[in-house]
Formats: sequence, structure tokens, C-alpha cells
Amino acid sequence: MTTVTNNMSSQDHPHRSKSAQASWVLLQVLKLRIFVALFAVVLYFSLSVDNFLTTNNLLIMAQHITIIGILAIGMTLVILTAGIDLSVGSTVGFSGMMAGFLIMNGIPIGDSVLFLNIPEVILVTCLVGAFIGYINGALITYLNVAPFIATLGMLYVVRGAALLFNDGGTFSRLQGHEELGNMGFSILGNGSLLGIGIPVWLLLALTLVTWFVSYKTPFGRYVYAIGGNESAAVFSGLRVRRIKLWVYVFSGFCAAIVGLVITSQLQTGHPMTGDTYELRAIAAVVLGGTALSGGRGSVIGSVIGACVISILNDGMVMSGVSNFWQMVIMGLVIIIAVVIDQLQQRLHKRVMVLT
Amino acid sequence: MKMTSMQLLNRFASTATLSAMVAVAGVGSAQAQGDVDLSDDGEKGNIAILVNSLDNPYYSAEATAAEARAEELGYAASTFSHNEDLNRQRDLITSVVGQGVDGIVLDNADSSASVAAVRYATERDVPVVLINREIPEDGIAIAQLTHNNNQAASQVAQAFIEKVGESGKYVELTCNLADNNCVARSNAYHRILDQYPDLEMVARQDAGGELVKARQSMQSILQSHPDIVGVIAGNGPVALGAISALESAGMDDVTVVGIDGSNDERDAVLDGQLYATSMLQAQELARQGVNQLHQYLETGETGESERQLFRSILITEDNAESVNNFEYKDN
Repeated sequence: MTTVTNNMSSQDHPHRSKSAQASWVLLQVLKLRIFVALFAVVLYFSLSVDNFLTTNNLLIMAQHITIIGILAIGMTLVILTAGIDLSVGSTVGFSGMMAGFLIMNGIPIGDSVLFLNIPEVILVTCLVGAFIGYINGALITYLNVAPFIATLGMLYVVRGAALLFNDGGTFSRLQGHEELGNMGFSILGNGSLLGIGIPVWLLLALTLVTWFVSYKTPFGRYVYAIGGNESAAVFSGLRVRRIKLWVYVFSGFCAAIVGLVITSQLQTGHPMTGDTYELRAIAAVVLGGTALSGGRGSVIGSVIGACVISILNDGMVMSGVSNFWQMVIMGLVIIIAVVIDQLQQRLHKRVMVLT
Repeated sequence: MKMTSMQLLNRFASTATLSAMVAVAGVGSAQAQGDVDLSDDGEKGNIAILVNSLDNPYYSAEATAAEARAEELGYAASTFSHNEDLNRQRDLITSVVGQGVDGIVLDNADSSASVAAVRYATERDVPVVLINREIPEDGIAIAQLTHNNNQAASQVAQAFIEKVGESGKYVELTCNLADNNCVARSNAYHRILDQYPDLEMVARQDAGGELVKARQSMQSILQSHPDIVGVIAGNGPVALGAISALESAGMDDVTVVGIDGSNDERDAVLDGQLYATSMLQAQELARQGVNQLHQYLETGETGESERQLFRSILITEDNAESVNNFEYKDN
């Protein structure tokens, strides 16, 4: 029996290597599936919707991508460590209210009120967002709360805090006052540089920086190592706690930027802004091929995932698809993405065995 | 996506509220048996006010006005929000009924699905007055007070036509087609606008009642239809989101109209960005609801027919100054 099998396998070898080669090619296609998906979405809508490929529309769609894209960048690092951050949507709302509060009401100090200028407002708001991330990280690393629970708790705490800011009300008309020197907040969301909106530049910069950090710096590699095998990372002497803490701080920071951008675009801080955005960010990350179990994925994939979600959304609006169908289609796309991801994993194992 | 997270949130929140309420109820009864009797916290009795969510200026104006009127009439009033969750609405109603409340003023979570919850209270001799939203059955609630969406939308549509004329392309952004009020407004808009064959609706999109979604949808629609003359919006936030999109596209000659009448819309009308809106008289409606509950508790009847419609007030640049927290005051 054994000899027969051996014979067969040696005869079979050329054929097997061919099938291995086919599997390998398929694997490469699957790995690039997010680019394929993006291409397919753009192709479909450019054929079916007028004015889809105009410069103007592309610029507008790029602006829409930034919201989910920037959240997805922060979320990717968190998910790479096998964590999750459910509080980002609430942080978006909170930081918008924070900026609105700083511009409209100022900081009361004793009898006087301190009004910050716009760069200071942006800085303070980003720091507050990072601090919310720090609380998440501290709960997870020092108090050993599971990431899902810690950030779920913070989802409520932070949203409640956003609502408390103005008793559920909004901060509107954020033009600022000349005499207070806090005009110009709308530039952040509505201004443009070289014809491209400032939020889009922010997204590009954050993508590049995070990509560089995650691939080229020890910190980035540690993030992958922790997600791949946390115990191994601990035993290798990595400062796992500190690395995880920073990942959540960064996610909070990204959420604060998104909150600032939205508030600047609308000229209104609304406490419910960003409701369920955490789920959209997670969807973009998953769509981009990052595994929820950690250790595998990339920031670029997540940003492309955000592009797919956002462009799909805009394209459906432009072609007049009803909102309810949009939700169904979006859900199906996410499910299909995960199914393909599982296929890829199985294929990956097979290719590893075969070669 | 919105539903999932909201439901999740509500499930947690309702558990939290219930446990808090049980605690409060415990304290309350302890006080009643002790030196403080019930007449102290409300000489006429207790009224529970249940509204949707207190983060929305409409509901918070409604709740505040109802509470103030109830206290004026000598009741102790407590306000709860069910956040559009039927399960939580039922939990809240069963617990306030269990606490022996004398009457309930309810802005319900979903019209037809709320019938059972209202019946639960009336079967235990706790009268319920419905405000803002109706239920499809008669004879269960003692009164159902709603805004006349038809009148509001017709008025706004008329103002829209007077401004843009009888021809041109326009866009409709609905607020949330899962809500009856929103559907009624859209229908009423079209009853007027569809009479003009040269007035063409080139796009219609549901913006879920949200600012950001309205802005993004409007921006996308503008790519296909840069030549529109007007936008009709289902509610205030949607109108404001559309304005923000038009503004960033530099199209300030497009006429935008909405319905709601919040302070943010008032400011937009004063700034000349929103052409017209219709202010729902939330405070007046809520006060009338409490009045009729009071009448019923005193005499056994409200003296009015069960279903009553409240007219809304058309707001333009001329009278926007008179709007404050869904209350219209002529100066």
C-alpha cells in the first residue's frame, strides 16, 4: 500500500505543483480582493451613474471617505492587537461638542472666561480624544477589563457626557467672533489645499504615518506580534501593556480628529454625531482584510475598505437606491468580505501544505 | 446599523433605569409610610411623562412643558424617555403603573405597536393621554393629540412654490420613512407639488433624520443634479444638513424648506439660509395633553373628542424672531 501511494504521489507531483500554482495565484487574487472590490464598485457606478467620474464628484467622495477612513486607521491598530474599540463613535460626538463648547462658551476661570484660538481648540480637543483613548487603554491593560466591555462601557459614558455638555442641545453657528480671535474653524472641514479638501490631506497623512509606523518601526511590529500571540510577546520581553495603551490612545485621537472635521463641516456640534460609526469603522477594517483575532491585516487595506463602503454609499445615493436597500446591501458586502477572508485562510493553509 | 446599536444601548439603559426606578420606588414608599405623605409631593396625585429621547430639542421642550403644566396644576410629575424602544416603553409603563401613578402622558415609541402598552395602563384604571404620535385604535387612550403634519407640509409646500415658481427641478430629503409622521409629511408635500407638472423631483433620498447623512446625501445628489432650484426636507436636521452641503458647494440660491421649528432652524431662517419651516407647537400640545388628563381625573371625561390635531405655524424671515424652544410668542 505504502509503495503504491508513494508511486502515485511521485507521478502526481507535476500535476500537484500545477494545482499548487493555481491555488497560489488564486490566493494572490484573494489577497488583493479589496482592490478588486474597489475597482468593481467604481467601474459599476461610473457606467451606471452620470457624472460619477467627474473631478468634482471624486473630490466630494474623497471627503466622505475621510470620516470612516480616519476612524478605521485608529481601529486597525487596535484590532491588530486583537482588541476592539467600540467607543470611537461616542468620542466623535464628544469631541465635536468639546470644540463647540470651547468656541461658543470658552473655559470659565474664576470670573473671567478664557477663549482659545482655533489651533488651540483643535489641539485641546485632540488631547481630550487621546485621553478618552487612554482611559480605554488603562482599563484594558491595568485593570484587565476585556476590550469589548471596557470600550462598550466608554461608549455609554462618553455619549452621555456629550449629551450633558449642553443638556442634549447643540452648539450651532460656530463661526466664532472676531473680537475673541476664534474665527476660521470652518477651514478645517471645508478648506482646501491644491484643490483637495483638508480632511483628505489629513486622511492621507495619517495613512502614510500609520503605515510607516506599522511596517517600519519596532512599535508597529510589536503591535502585530501582540495580536499574533500575546503570551509569546510577553515572554519575548515586549512591553505589551504600554504598546496596547498607546494603540487605544491613538484610536481616541483619530476619533477626535473626525469629530473636529464633522463639526467644522456642519458648523454645528451635535451630541449624537458619530452614533454607530464604530460599527462602520470596524466594517471598513474587516472589509480591508484585517482579522478580528489580531496579528494580520494592514492600515492600507482598512483605508481602501473605507473607500469601498463610502463610495458604495455615495453611488447608491446618486443612483437613487432607497436607504433601506442601502443598509441591506452594505450588510451583505460585509458578510461576503468575511466569507472570502475565511476562504483565503483555508487556501493559505493549503498552499503552505502543498509547497 | 443604527437600529442595532440603539437597541443594544436601550437594552442596557432600560435595565439600568428599571433598577434605578425600583430603588426610587422603594425610597418613595418608605417616605409615604413615614412622616411624608403622598399629598406632599403632589396634592392632586402623580403624573408620569414618557417621551422619546431627551437629547432631541423637540422632545425635551415637550417634556419640560408637560412637567411645568402638571406641577402648576398641583401634580407631582416625573419624566422618562424610552428612546423609541418598545420594550423599554412597556417596562416603563408597567413600573409607573405599579407605583400607582394617577395618569400617563405618553409620546409613544411606535404607533401600532404601542397599543398593547397603552391598553395595559388603561386596563388598570390609569388614564393615558397620547401626544405627538397616535395609535391606530380608538377608545383606549382618553385623548390623542397630534400635530397636523398635513397642514404643516402643505403650508411649507405652498411657500416653496411661491418662492421657486411653478417649474424647475427639486430634491426631496425625507427624515425617516420608518416613522409615520415623516411619511405623512412627504405625502402632503407631494399632494401640493405634484399638481405642478413642470416642477420635477429629480432625486429622493431618506436621510434618516440626521445632519451628517443629509449633508453627504445632498453632496452626492448635487453631483448628478447641479441645476436644482430647491430642496424639501422632512425635518429640521435634514434641512440644516442640506444647507451645509449647498453652502460648501457655493450654491446659496437654492431654496431649502423644512418642518420642525427648532432654535437652530430659526437661526438658519434669520441668516437667510433656510427659506421656510413650520414650527410644531410642542409646548402647547404637551400642556393641552396635561390639561385634558387633569380634566379627566377631576370629572371623568376630557370634554373633547379623542383625536385632536394641532396646527403648526409657518416660519419665515418675518416671524422667526418669535420662535423659542417650539413655542411661538408674538412680541
